[in-house]
Amino acid sequence: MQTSHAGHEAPGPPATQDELTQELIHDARETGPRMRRALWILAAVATLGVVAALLMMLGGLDDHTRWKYYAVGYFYVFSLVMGIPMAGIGLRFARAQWRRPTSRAAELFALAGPVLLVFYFPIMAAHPGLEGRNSLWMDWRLAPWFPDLLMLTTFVGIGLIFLYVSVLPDLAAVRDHGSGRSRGIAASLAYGWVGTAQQWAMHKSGLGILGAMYIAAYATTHMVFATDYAMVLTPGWKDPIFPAFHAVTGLQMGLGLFIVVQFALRKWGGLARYFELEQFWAYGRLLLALTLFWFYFFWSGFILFWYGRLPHEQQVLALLAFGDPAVENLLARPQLWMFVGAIGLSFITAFLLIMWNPVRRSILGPAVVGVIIIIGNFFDRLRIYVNTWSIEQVGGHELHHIPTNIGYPGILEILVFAGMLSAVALMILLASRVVPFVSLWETREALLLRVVRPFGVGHAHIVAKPD
Amino acid sequence: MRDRPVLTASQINDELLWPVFELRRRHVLAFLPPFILVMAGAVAVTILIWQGLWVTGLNRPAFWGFFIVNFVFWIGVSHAGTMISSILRLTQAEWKRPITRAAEVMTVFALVTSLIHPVIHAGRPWRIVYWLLPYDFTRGVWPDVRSPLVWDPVAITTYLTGSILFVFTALIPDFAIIRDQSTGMRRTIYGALAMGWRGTPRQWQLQGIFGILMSALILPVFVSVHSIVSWDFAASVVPAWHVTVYAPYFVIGAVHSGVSMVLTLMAFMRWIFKLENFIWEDHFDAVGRLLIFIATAWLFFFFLDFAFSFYTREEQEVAVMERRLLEWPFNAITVIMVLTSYVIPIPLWLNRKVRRNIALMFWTSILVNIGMWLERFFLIIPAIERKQELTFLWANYVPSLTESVIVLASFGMVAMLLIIFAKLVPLVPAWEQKEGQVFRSEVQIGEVTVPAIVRESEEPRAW
Repeated sequence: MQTSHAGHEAPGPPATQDELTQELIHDARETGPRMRRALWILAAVATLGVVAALLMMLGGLDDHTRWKYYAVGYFYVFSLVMGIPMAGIGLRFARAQWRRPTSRAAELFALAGPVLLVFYFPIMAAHPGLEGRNSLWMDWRLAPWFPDLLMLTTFVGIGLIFLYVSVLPDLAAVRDHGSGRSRGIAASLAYGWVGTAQQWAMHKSGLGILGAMYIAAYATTHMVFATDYAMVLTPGWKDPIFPAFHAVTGLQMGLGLFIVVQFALRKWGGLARYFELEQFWAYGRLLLALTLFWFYFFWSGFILFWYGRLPHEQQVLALLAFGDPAVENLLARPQLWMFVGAIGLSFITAFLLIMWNPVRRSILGPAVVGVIIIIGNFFDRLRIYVNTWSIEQVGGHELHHIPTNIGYPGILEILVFAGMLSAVALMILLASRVVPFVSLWETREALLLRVVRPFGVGHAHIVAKPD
Repeated sequence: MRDRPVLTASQINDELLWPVFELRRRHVLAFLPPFILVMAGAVAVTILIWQGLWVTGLNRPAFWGFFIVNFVFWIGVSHAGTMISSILRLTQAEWKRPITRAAEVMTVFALVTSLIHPVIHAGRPWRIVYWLLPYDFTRGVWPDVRSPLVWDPVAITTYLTGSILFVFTALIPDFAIIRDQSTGMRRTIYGALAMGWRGTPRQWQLQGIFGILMSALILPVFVSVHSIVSWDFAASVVPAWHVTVYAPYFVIGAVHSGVSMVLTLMAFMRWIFKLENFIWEDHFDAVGRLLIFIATAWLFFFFLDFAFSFYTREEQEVAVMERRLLEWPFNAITVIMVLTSYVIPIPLWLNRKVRRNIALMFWTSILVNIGMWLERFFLIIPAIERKQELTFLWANYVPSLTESVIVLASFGMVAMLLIIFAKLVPLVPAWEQKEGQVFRSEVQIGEVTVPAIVRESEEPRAW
């Protein structure tokens, strides 16, 4: 693992606004043959995923236990990608200057929304309904289908509008300085943006309001999904911290993926000068905080169940963590191994690495931890969704039987999973052909607001605070 | 940040150290009301000890009343110091400078005040010694280390020790300033407290490292303290208490009330000690923005607790929620709590003009603290009144005058201790202000000069 400044050989940033525009509008968005090939492959896999989902639907929706691995894949991808725009939104609220070159890459993940909406319909149809189960919806006949769909659609809509508002100045820049087909697309989308003071003021307010709405929609959608697609399927499981855990772990794995994406953009995307050590270091700190939150939210629920010794809560612990106590052979308890994988990678290994400043203060360190967290949280979603979707029992105060034979995903489930990931990647890469991966307007602002001056025997950043 | 006054080192000393060297009328006037409250509290405690716990409203099964509510509230307020000092120090938020000390000191005094409550609650305080010390040896029964009631004092005393260390080390450079400006006995005392501080580069380096280390170390303690306090309730199987969301819900509620009280304190300090050159509208604006985020997170957890109390429709839990929402006086308390903790202050704080209006910020922060005190009452009392399954074992808790006076006196006690402290050392750290002057800068953007701050960096990068 690299420490200190190893691997930190990126050239300095463009010195002028014009150089910056030239680099981001022209150089970074060229579509070479490798990129074309990648786009075609992603499109093919995404299509296969859609076809696989349709085939699964043709196989029947009555038995929800058939859909357990679809649920794992769906909610894993949902958690993984929909939290990433929060990196841009939250840090803009916090006025963190270092975020500027990275915001756009984070916000582009809002394009995953339509993909998730498409793949949501099968899982929504496969939901067994709330009759005889606990519910947040007070016996509403249309629940959970209608409110959950409404929630997801609102969330996706807010994300897309937020992204559009955010890229508006850059679309205008592409219209004014770009060339080819992307220029035409940008011109039609730029909607008369010329950068007047009034437009900038509205832009700033819009980003603030939409950002706050995105955060609220993120929290509520996680709350509803975690409850309706996991908790209600498990008799005796009442756990108000679980939706918050679901949301926080989504942020953790999202940030993990985002750091990996930044690493890739730096290494292979020709954007090394924008995704610098400063960003990796700062995101590494955030990753440490979110890793601690992972444990805190997990522990807050776990300790009460473990300590309370109530029979129905012990059954939930068996379902989600320890496996069926009647099975003496620990190797034959799949729940236990999923749990060990989840906590071992998402918290223990990740924390033991990212807690060290030399690891955080490197390019490779946070990226490696990001990969570990992505894998660890896959185990986490596996333990949550595969177990809850394997339960056939409806109603009752307590789960009577811990499912032991949870099986393996079939080829269709694997194709759906790959298709979802490919579709998300495809959407983002296609969008990056029109607008740059690095926000031009935010980075231009950074050039104005941050200057470097000698200070004492070294250098100092002078950060202007206009607000 | 705008309109920042440029002050020399001696101006900073003069404006911040006057309360230490002079006794002005405003200082005395500020001291009197809390002192009277504390005296009233002392009388109430004396009556309680003399007469016994029957003078309180505690009765089976509601053995936890105002004292425990107030204990939890003050533990919550104590979270402000860590929040402001540790988190803002670690994130290098420049606006923290004038408020760190007051927040840290409030942490210590709030903790001390909270710790008094279980002692009073015992009714026969001297028996605590008997319960704690010879108990295990004489009866061979050891305290159950798995009980949150044992974790509680451990966590709180660790937090208190850490907070005192935090405050003390940050005070050392200011002790040295006072020492250097004093003569006689005062010089001797402050000289001893300054522990040979001369401001050498090594001393500053050590002080800086210690501050960062303590900030990082105290954060887990800070989270654990209120989590453990929440587990005092949640680890039991009392309906509406045995809720997994309690730990983060308590912690975020604590931060909400604590940071709001810092806001109250900032306005109070600015008025009493004439700190207009140090505590600006920008600081209120920044704390206000922070509070919008904190309060919204609190609302999310409140909603989770609320929504899931109806999730399983268990009779006892529904009975508690009915009591909270529909029965007098809890229905009124619930409405006031939601209004004062969120509905009134947050829409106001969303307006920048309000955030920069000190009087409005002062009153809205007081509203939040009323709301957050009521929230503790809302969480604790209805559940304990309905903790038994059989309805003839239910009870209604009506707090007595004695308890109410002691609760009011606790507010007086924290205020009085702060005012006494302000007579001994400046509530705004002089050395941090001087450092802030060094780090201030300006950047020319077009025709406008924008205030800026200096960030140390090893690399001359533009982003």
